[in-house]
Amino acid sequence: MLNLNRSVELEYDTEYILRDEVVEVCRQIPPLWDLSNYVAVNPFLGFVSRPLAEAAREIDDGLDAQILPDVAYYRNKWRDGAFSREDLAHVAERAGQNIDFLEAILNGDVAIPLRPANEVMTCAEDHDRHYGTEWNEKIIRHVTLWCAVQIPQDGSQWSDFVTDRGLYAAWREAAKEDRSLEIAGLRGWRSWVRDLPEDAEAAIATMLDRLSIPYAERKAYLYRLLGGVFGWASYLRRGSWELGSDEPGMLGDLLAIRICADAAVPHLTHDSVQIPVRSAMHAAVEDESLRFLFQEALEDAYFKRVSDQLAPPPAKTTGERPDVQAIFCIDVRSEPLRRHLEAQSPKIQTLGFAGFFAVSLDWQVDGKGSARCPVLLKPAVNIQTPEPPAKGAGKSTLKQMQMAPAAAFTFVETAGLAYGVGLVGDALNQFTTPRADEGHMVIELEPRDHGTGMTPEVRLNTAAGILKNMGLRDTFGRLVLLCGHEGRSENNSHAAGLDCGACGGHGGAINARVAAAVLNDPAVRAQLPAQGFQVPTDTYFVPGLHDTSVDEVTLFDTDTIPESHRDDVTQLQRWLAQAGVQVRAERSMALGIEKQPQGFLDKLLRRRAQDWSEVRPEWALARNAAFIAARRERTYGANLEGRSFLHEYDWKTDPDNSILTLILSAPMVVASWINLQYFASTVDNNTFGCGTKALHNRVGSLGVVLGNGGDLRTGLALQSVHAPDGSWFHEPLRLQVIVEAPQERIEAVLTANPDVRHLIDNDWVRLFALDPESNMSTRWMPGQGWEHKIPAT
Amino acid sequence: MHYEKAGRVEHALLSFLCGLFGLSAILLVWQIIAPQPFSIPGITIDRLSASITLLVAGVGAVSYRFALRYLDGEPRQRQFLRWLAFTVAAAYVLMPATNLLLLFSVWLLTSFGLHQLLTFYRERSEAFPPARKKFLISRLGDVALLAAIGLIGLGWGTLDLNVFLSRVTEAGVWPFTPTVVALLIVTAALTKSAQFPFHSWLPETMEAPTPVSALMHAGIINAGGVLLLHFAPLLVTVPVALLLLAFVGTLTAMLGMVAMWAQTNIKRSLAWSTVSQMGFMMLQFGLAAFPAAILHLLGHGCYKAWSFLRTGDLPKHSPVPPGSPARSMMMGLFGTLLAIPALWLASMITGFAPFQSPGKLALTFIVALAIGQMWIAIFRTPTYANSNMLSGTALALISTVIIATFAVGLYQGAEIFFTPVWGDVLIATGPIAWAAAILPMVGFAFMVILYIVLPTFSRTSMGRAFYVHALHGFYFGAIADLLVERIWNNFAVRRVEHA
Repeated sequence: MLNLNRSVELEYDTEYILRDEVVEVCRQIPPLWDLSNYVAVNPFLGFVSRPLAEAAREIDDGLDAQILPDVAYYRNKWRDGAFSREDLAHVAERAGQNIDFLEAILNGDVAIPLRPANEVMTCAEDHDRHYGTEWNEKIIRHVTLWCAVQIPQDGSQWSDFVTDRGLYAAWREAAKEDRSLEIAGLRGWRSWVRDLPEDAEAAIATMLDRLSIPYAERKAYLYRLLGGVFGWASYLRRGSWELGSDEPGMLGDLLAIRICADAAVPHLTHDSVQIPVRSAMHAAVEDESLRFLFQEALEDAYFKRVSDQLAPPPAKTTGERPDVQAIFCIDVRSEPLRRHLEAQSPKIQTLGFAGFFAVSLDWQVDGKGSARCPVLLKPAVNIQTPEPPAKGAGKSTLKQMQMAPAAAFTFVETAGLAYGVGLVGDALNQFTTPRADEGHMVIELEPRDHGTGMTPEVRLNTAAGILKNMGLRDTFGRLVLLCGHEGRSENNSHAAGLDCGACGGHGGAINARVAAAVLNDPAVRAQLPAQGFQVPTDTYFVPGLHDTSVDEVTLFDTDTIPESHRDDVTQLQRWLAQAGVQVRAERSMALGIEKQPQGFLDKLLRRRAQDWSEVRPEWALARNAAFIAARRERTYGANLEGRSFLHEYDWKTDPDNSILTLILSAPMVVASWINLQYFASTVDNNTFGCGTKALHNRVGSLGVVLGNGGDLRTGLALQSVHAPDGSWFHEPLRLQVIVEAPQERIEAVLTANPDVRHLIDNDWVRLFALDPESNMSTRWMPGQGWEHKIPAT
Repeated sequence: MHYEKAGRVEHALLSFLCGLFGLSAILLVWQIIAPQPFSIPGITIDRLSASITLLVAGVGAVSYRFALRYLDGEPRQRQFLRWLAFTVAAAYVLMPATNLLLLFSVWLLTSFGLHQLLTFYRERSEAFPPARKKFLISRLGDVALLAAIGLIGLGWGTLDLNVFLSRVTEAGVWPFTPTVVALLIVTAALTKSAQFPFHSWLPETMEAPTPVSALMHAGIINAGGVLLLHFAPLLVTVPVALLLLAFVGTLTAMLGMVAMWAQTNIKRSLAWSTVSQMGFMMLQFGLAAFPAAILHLLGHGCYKAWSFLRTGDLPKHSPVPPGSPARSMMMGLFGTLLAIPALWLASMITGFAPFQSPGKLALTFIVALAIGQMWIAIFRTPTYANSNMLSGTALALISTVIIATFAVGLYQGAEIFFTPVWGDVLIATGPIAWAAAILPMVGFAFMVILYIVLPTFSRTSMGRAFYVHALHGFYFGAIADLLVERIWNNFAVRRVEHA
């Protein structure tokens, strides 16, 4: 119950409003996944229903964080000729701005227009500013430490703190014993905590009241409080996000803890000497709406370059049967491999599709499942391996002995010297950590009592779903390669970030193998023609895996390939190996490797992937900037520099728009999450990234903190987006979504899907319609409809 | 801020460190073949200095090689690598140095180099308070060491360690001087090896890149132990010093372990583990079990360096839930009792004599406790928790014999191996030695019981409060922070006034 003891001069029910505000603030926090399922998240997920420029303002005021790069960045780009006066003119015209004014800003002839910052501060920040103390940091350290304690993790000898009492109650019980803040100067901390309300919501209300925060500023104040613990807030947000719930849940508890600790500062400190320090916060901010215009101009220039590469529509589909159809993930790293693979032979056709191949799996090893599908979906089938789990009794015993009294010392004395071998071996890149061999594990497809496996019906539906969404109906190669992907790296907490996002941050081997097994299933094949899929009897589906760290493709389940297809497979392997060589040569430049003979380069890349001290085993999805849903003929031969997500789409096979709806509401959204994660981690790594790997300090397998502790960090490491020379390797461009379909078709999908439309109309991605009959691209102007301005050449 | 890729100098430094490693390896082989200590002015080469320099150079070279790639793209990577090599080189000379002035210089230089590494990230304000704390504590140690050296110079008229040690029992100096020197040396060692109450900086120095932690926890934190090894023949003649070491060591080992159990992140947990392990090493010095202490120092160095550098790996196995106290107690007791015949057998095989001194008895007792913990651990794993009791018992029995033989065998081996360094004079007996031995036996037995009852205890409100205190390392760090802040600000203000 709320306990507002101050007279309230508003007519409406304050309880209702506060609750609403808490819900609204909590909704602005994006979810965060733990390290073993580390998938990209749009850090601005809570803001997609508002225009980007407006969100940028609010995030700056609330978190001191930037969405858009500062003007200096655009000035550099302008000087380097990344966008032209013509691009600027377009943007100026659209926005009703004066082009000369914009140009003058870029040339540095006029000062950068500033807007006053809306300085909402926490009480601790306010106190620090007046007395030169560091209370805000100490309070944040206290709150985040208790978050880490209270999230159940490693099975330590202590019982978990949080049972069913909730985060706030558990914290309250612990904090009233905690003397550390008292020693640091918050006299009376423990009795302060003892007097706090028992209920989290009541605590928020009471504190707001006691601090006399004006009603108008409450939301901003609460958001700023959460901003200080952005990482933990995101972690706690995941629970309610997955349920699709608006209830703040644990996040509300965190907010209560945060406000109670913050309110303690003005009440319990006794600083009397004022040492005003220069405000850490900027008094004025570079105007976001102007920066937004420069961003637009920059992206216009990029789009023009992409659009110039697109091929004209093919005169007539050849209909000739390819030897091999290779289906890759839409991931940007597939594009170079596809390009080079196609260059091997005209008999090869490649396609792009989300790397989970439309099989939403819950993959179970030893009774424990992991979701192998995009986080937007729920796993539909459970598949398990009958293989007994590796017995960890020995290792587990040793692990426990390292923590146990007396045993820890004996362990070090008897086994310690053996670690010397480990040190030398690791330093020479001789050792790799064993990982589950998902390419060769036995997969149990047969349905079982406990709900695992796939019934014939499910298999047929799955197979039909795969073929339909890939637009495969009549033309099938003799071999169809279903190629997932995964990255290799050693000693990397964020290794999941190199894996397939469509497989929930895991390697794609299992999904590819299940998809191929289902499509090869004779019972399924017998029924496919009735569903409208003319799969020739001699078509065989092969699962494979693209190792993105070394650009090698491994084929799986080769022992079951029929004799008739052996030669085709051998030929395919040869082509893949050839393509790999060329991709590696292309990719090594970006990794800063000087020109090397091929064999040496291969070895070097493999070494890097095995090196326990390597912080850039690959660039993963850095520099991603475009999403193209079109027939491959439109991008065939174009060098898209590994920056484009390529999704196969032929609007003629999609009479009811269902495929396009799916593409725009699932893969496109996932791609935009990845895109905005890279964007935000590059522009403001302090808030949205996870800092330098050299300071990463793991909290179980939940996440990392930097150095001694503090907030959990989200997003990507500095090394994943910045080049070694400190410049930005990732170029922050929003996703340019190019869809080859008639405009009215796309518009119909937008109208029917408000979530997708939000994303586009609020400038979080940019949408273009590529005319199926010509080279014309037309942009969807947010809030206005199709523009007729950008002609492609 | 411009990019300075590691250049020729930095790669040459790696070769230099590898060269040091190779040099130590050659010296060690030579000393194994011809176990005759060899001195050049200021430096003594024996099995001890060869082994310890091998560890320092090895850990140093591995950390350096690690930092070459790991810090690629960090601004000031070059400076970092140079300071790293500098610090390793200084720590390398610490063990062979037998000229006391040389010893003091490298002692100081190691500390200075480490301070540079700890404050590498200048923009991270959090790095400074712990580094300052460490700085002040180290200076305290410097004063103690310098005073000891001064006393030696005045009392014995020499600055050569070997000369001093050979004359330490001679009459002619003021009474109590050897005791005072020993206590000063012990104090210096305690500050350097993060012993209570000088320990709190260690778990707080995670604001430096991972390779620094690896080097610090494996190669530099041992400096206190190295100092004690230098003065081992003196220490055995001063029972009070040994008792002090045993007391502080036991206390630190217990404190560090409880705090380690409470930590939430990996590096802090490893750091508290180092505090605890160094406490155990100090205890071994207190028991006059010098060869065992060397073994511990070397084993811990390898283990901790590897553990720090590998912190990026995600835990592979899901953690196992703690067992019920009654069951654990039974298993632990059973294992400990079974360890007695196993240890007796192992002593027969290896020639280790547990009753030769109180210290050896205490060490054997701790191994028995460890075997009890192993029994608990084996029957806590999912494989053996509820089924496969028979194969679990077989595994536990075999492991009991193996661990007993290994532990005792290594103690005995170390003793034989390091005999040429000091001869066999280093045995402490008498009532004070007994006191020093009983202390850890009681302490660790208490720890074992605490560990077993913890899952139940921590469900009570008292247990929860205990957790809160343990998480904060029982507030010694916070109190030290206050002191350091005051002293540092005082200095800073004075410096400003002088300027």
